[in-house]
Amino acid sequence: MSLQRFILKRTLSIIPIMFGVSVITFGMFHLTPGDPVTQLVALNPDVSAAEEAALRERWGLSGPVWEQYLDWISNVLVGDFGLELQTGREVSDIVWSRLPETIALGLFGWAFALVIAIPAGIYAAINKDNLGDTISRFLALSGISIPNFWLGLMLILIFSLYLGLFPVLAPSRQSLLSPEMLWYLILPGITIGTASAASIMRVMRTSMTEELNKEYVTAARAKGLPERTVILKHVLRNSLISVVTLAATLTASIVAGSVVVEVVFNWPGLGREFIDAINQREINVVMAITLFTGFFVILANLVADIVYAALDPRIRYD
Amino acid sequence: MTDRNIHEDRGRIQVSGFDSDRVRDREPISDWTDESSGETVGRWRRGFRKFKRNRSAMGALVVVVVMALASFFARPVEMFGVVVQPFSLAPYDPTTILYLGVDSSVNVYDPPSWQYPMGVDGSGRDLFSRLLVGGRYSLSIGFIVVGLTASFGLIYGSISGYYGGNVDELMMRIVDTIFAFPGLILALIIVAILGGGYWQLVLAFSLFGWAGYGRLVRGEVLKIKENEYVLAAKALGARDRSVVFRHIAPNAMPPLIVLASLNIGSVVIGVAALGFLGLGLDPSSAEWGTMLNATRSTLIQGPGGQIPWWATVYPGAAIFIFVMSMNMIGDGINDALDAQQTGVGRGGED
Repeated sequence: MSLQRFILKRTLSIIPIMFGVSVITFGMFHLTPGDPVTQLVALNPDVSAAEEAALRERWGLSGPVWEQYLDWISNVLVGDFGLELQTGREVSDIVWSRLPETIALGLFGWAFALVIAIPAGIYAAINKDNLGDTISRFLALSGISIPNFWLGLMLILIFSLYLGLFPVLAPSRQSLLSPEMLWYLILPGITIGTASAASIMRVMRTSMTEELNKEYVTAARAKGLPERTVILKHVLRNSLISVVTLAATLTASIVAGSVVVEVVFNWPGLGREFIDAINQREINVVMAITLFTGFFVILANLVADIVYAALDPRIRYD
Repeated sequence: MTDRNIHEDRGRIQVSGFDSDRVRDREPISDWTDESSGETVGRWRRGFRKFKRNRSAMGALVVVVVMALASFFARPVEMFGVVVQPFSLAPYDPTTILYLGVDSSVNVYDPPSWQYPMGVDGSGRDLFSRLLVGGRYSLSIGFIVVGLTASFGLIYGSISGYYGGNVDELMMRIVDTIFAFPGLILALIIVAILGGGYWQLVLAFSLFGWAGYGRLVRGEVLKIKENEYVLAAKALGARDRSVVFRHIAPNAMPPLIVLASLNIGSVVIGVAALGFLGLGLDPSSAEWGTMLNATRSTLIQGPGGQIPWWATVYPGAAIFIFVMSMNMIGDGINDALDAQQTGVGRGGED
């Protein structure tokens, strides 16, 4: 299969999954008792039955479930997620305005993970079973075991409160790319990237160890290549493929991590908006962010698969 | 005499190093014996022996057992009005506010002392007692959720992998769809809809948590069903159900157990994360994540300008140590069961 065909086939395969994601998102909120109108009426007992029915009509909550779903999805497809009930703002505006902060945080976390994990993984594989390897394996195990919210609190406690190196909490609004904001980004970025760094390190170590035992490495060494070239040009390139397969999973974990980490650091991104929306029962906002997350993870998976197929042609024949 | 012997041996092929006694002890035609039929047991036993030799995994197992016992014996357990467990390791009840009646000299956020080894929390309760009792929530939810999801995933994956075709296609699309959502996000939404509480948390992590096991088991089943013994069972007229659950599913167990042991830690972190976000259990309950949530706002400035680090450090450290131990056990099981596979291959040599 040519790469183009693979990309086309794989891209088409996400359509049913995206449909499924929208059904789950819709279903979770609409198959449970108590729609937003019921809750609103519970809060304001003086709403009359006629007003209640009119409200249901206006928010598309009357009629059978499948009709409501079609109604909702056709609006969503043109980017209309409805209004935030309390403020009357467009939900899509809210999502777009919070998105850059979360992307900045996620990218920083990713960069941190890669910068730490790849050299550490190479080091551990080359010095297998040495003291350095043992220590880095222990650190990696700690990294995947530490709860990110606690890590965040500990970083605040040590670096902000005792050492005073970093500002404690991010300001609510600030231009994102200012150097000041970068300073605010460091601790949450490290917090969100630690688990991914640990996973990548473990995978790098395993796959490098495997690659180092292969015959092409012996051949490369036998023809007199310096060890540095063998490792960096041959082994590393092949080991990085396994990191690509991990990338989509880690992106999902960074997305989930952003919810918690943004709350810890008071970071004004989508994750904190999500928690605020849940606490204020802003169903439209929660649904929009849920759907957005789902689509984002699907696309991340798609990109990872295509990169994988481009790097390793055997995959295309599966 | 000698002459005669030579005559008898003539024409025979001399084979040296051949132990005829071993051949006589062996059963003819096949090498099946009662002992070798215990193969499945032997496999697990070999894995267990290997696990026992793994020092870090055994150490981690001790930590987990001690934590489980400590939280179980922390306060008396009552079931249906009967005291099942009368011991009480924790000096105070987790909900007792110390300055009301117990010890009027205690203040909110008192630092650790001999009497209160982990200090006092923001509501004047003994942190050590709360920490011990708090283990009950995280640990039991972790094990219940993993038990439920792994069992369901095993059934789901076996069916999907065994039948293949359109059934498999549909079932795996469902799994793909669930995988599009990070587990924590789904759990958050479910708890937001259902409200907090013990069984709500179990449901929140179980409802979609089986997908990973389903995908793993399906992959294993696809490999296993190519084996001759599956074909033999089918040729003997075994029903689908018995082929799947007697011959295929048991062989898919090792990777499932490894994944399950590694997942307990992530469920415990997830439960604590929900508690930390204020969406898990009742805010006054002693669950570790909920305890962290209660002190989050006062981390920055405690009373008198001091930082009450103990209220944040200890509950989080408890989660960390438990999850780390579970992951070490998982790694140990992984190594043990992997070694078992190569051990089978090497069986002929020794």
